[in-house]
Amino acid sequence: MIKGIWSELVGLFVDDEFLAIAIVALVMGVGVLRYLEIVDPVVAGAGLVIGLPAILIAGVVRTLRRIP
Amino acid sequence: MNQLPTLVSVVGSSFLASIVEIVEAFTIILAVSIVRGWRPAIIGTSAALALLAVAVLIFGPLLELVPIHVLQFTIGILTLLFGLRWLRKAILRSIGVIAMHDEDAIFTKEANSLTALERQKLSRLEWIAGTTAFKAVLLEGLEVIFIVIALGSTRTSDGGNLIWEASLGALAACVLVLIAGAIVHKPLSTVPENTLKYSVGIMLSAFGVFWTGESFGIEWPGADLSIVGFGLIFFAIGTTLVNMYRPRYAKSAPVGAH
Repeated sequence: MIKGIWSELVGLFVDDEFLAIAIVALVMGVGVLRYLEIVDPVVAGAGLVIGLPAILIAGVVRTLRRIP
Repeated sequence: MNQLPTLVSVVGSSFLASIVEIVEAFTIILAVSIVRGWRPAIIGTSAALALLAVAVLIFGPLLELVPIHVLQFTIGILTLLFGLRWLRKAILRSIGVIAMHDEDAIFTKEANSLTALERQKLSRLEWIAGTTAFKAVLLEGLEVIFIVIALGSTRTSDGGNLIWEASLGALAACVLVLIAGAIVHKPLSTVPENTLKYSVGIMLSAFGVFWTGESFGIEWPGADLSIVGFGLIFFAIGTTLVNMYRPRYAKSAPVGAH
């Protein structure tokens, strides 16, 4: 039962692998660039505001394309 | 800080999200109680609530010890994963490619599963029924706790947070579902679950963008009001995707709800 609960807990956050990996990659990428002060806060903010909706669009379209 | 819009967003989102989770748990508890009686349903539910209370009592105070940027980053990324997952599914359901969440179907499935076990005259049926209720309440309860923490971590102008306000939203949802459930005594299938998930997915995603940005030292224009702006962006994207793809995919067979 514990294994089942654990897999359902992970499933709360990870359902579509593409979506989850893309979100984590974008946020970590922006975070590293900010930490190293390669980009200023405005660019980092724009990266999140543009990137996360773009990932959502890609996630939906990707799923639709797999439907025959 | 623009306190009122933030307060309304936090309490409203917590209330709506909790309704979804509590309705799901209620459906399974009802199936258990109808097939096997109230005893295993009450024992399973009580055990899960006790475990959740212990978890909150142990881990709640620890949150105060986590540095604010670490907390914002962790909650932000988890909120994004959770919110965008809900929003993606709600969009796909609205387009018509995956089936709507059906409380009647879930109730029937759980009831049939327990009835089939009953026919086998298993001696541990009471235990199985109790653990079914336990698991449902534990998982949905953890989701409610996560939502309350994610939304309630919003900082107020005096440096506090809105955990209590978010908790009140969740508690109000719990009371409302229990009253409605006690009155109708059947699965609450008329709750517009996809619309709720769509709305809450938008709000959680907006909060997620805000938190992660704050953790990177980004000062959002309009401070907390920017959350409303992010929500509008996600709403516009969802509406556009549904309007664009629904005519093409609505007639294709749904691939099943999760």
